[in-house]
Amino acid sequence: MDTSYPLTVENCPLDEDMAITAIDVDERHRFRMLELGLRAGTVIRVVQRANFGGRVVARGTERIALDGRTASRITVAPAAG
Amino acid sequence: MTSDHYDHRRGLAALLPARRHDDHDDHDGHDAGAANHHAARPCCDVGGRRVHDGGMPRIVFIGNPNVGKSSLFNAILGARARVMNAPGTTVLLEEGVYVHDGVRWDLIDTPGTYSLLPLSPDEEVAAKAVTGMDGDGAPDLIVTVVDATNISRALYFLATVLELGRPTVVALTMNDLAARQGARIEPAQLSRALDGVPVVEVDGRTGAGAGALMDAVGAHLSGTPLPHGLTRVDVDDVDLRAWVEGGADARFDWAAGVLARLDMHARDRVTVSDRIDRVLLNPVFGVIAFLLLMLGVFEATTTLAGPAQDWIDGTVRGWLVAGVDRLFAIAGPGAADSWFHSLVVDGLVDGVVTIGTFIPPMGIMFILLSLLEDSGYLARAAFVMDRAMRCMGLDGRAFLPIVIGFGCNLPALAATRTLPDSRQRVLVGMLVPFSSCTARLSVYLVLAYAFFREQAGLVVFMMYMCSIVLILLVGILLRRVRFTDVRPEPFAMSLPPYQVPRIVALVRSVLMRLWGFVRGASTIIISMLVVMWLLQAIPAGAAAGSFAKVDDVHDSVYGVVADRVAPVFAPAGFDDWHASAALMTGFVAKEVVVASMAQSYSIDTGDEDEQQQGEGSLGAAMRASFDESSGDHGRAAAIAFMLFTLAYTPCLATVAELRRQYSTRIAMQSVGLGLVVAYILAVVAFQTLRWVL
Ligand SMILES: Nc1nc2c(ncn2[C@@H]2O[C@H](COP(=O)(O)OP(=O)(O)O)[C@@H](O)[C@H]2O)c(=O)[nH]1
Ligand SMILES: [Mg+2]
Repeated sequence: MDTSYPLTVENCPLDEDMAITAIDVDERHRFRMLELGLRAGTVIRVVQRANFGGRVVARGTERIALDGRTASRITVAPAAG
Repeated sequence: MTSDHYDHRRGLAALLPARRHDDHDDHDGHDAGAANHHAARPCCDVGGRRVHDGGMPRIVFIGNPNVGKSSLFNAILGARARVMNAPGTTVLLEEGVYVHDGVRWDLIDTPGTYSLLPLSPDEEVAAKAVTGMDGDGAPDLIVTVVDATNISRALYFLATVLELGRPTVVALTMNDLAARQGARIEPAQLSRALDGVPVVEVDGRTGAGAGALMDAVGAHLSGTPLPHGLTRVDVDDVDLRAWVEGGADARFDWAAGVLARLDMHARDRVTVSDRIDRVLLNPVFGVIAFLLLMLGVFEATTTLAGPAQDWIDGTVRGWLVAGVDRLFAIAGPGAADSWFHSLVVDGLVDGVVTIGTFIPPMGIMFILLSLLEDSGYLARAAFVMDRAMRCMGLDGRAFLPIVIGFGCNLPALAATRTLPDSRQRVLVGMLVPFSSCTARLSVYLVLAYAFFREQAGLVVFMMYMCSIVLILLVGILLRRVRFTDVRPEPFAMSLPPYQVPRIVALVRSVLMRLWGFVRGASTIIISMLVVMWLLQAIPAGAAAGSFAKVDDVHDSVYGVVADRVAPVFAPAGFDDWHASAALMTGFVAKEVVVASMAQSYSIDTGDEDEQQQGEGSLGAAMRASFDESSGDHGRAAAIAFMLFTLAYTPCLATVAELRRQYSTRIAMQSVGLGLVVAYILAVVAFQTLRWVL
């Protein structure tokens, strides 16, 4: 991906497998994201765009809603395969 | 004081072990070492203990939010479950005694949490209960509730709990939903994958599996195996944070291993819920749908409840009074003339009717809340409104109670229950009384027509604007001084799949909540009304009549109190006993403020509507006394009076409910806050407006 913007949960395409590369929130909340199942390497799909940049990500049968700010701080890359 | 020293250690600090030198069993405590924890507990911990006595085994239920933990808990305990605050907090815990084969167990339901490293007081309570740091010692058995549709996250959490080394039983919920998504989990297979940790499939909505779960609890109180790949931890000897964070990777590896043994591979596909969310979470339609739904709930709790309330207030009251009269007639002639008859009719019957009139809006609210919760929409509402409410530092779900408050404060308080964070719940509970309910509207209307005629509509509209501004300002104030630790956090929440609510479970929970309300609020409402009756019954001076036979309120103790209070309002322009007497009645209910005014002027308003009352003789009487008390700035005084009515206190039923849901202290703080805000508002308004009005 050779864009000037990093690809994030907020701006990545819908319904495509993406692997999380980094989660740029404070320590406490980063660990909470991890406990929610979102951490570097996790493959997710963004399934819904909501208001103010809010996103719903899917991981298997699980659905997690993220606010816009948080969504824009989770960088992703297209998952291989 | 020692007993609640935990509560002063906020946040993570509270979880770092305060070393207790009781008989910690160092060997792999899966044998019956549990009971010793109780025996050797330091005496100072007793203050924090709850209903259970001595050796009753404690079974703690824990799990992620929205996994069906409370449904399950209520299916097991039914009406025996008791909701209460965790000691020293406003965090709600449910507790109850369960009898299994003649043995009494103490069951405890904790707030949902994703982690044992808490980010909120609620999660802290859950973490303390399960680790035994709540002063009650480690639980004798932990029931970990696992949601089949969120299995990988649940397994991670389960791993943390298992590492505590207490006997643990897994309650597997939502398997029906998982099956619908083609991802059903066989409990026996999961148990094997967990190296023998018992797993029981349950459905809290039907109660299916609850008996089997309790049997499994009984069979495993002596211990359950620790699966391979997990390391037992000793919470008394380890830094909790280091343990939870340090072991995370190992737990995920373990969870992945379990998933592999379950032969589960993530089945990605677009579900029905995803399709519904395309609309309900859509940036535009989502907000519209939300607002329409709120409008519907608001209408239901006001318009729909209205006729039922009128019927109870009129017809049912008539029946009760007739019944009382008949009983007194049996007691003999003259009995109906006694003070006791007056007490029963004006005190007790009035109290019963007052509670009765709140049953329709409360019942409707409870039904709608259950529907919103059970369908899975409420979690979405939090998300849809997140951004709008965030600027006020509130949860998206806080929108609902505040809007409902404009209809009636009481069901609005019921709606604060949907806020999972206890600080938010109390904060919103303290804001709700500033939502101008329809009862207050009756006061505005009469005064607006009495003093402003042509601009009456505008004046009433301005009162509503003031109410909104007050909520915003008081919200900021409360967050600055009382809820300093409430700040916007990143929003990350699991969305449950949509589902059709179950009617039986719904009716059961609605009836239980209604009963809780009636039981909790009735004592305070009836006793306050009796006090009011007494004040009006006692004559002030020999010429005023005899006990319970005071013709003019002004001659009763009540009138004397009103006289004494009145001068306080001189700076607000209404140093007048009619006004202060009406405001005192308004403590009970705002609906009766106008009636009380009319009574104090001895004006029979018959069945005039508010406009006729304002423009008729009642309005004229009010204009006369307000003009007099304000030095001919009656209109400024009227505005001050309306603003005071808006803010000074919610009705008695709301105060009773504040006390029941939070605590006596919070109810008092709420009333105190209202009085202070109302007084400042009224004085400032009068002192400014008298230059122009
Ligand atoms: N389909 C299904 N729904 C359930 C089950 N258990 C609970 N629910 C529903 O899931 C929602 C959340 O349940 P609740 O008990 O409030 O969860 P808690 O947050 O863990 O206490 C409620 O609407 C329940 O009706 C279950 O086994 N299957
Ligand atoms: Mg619950």
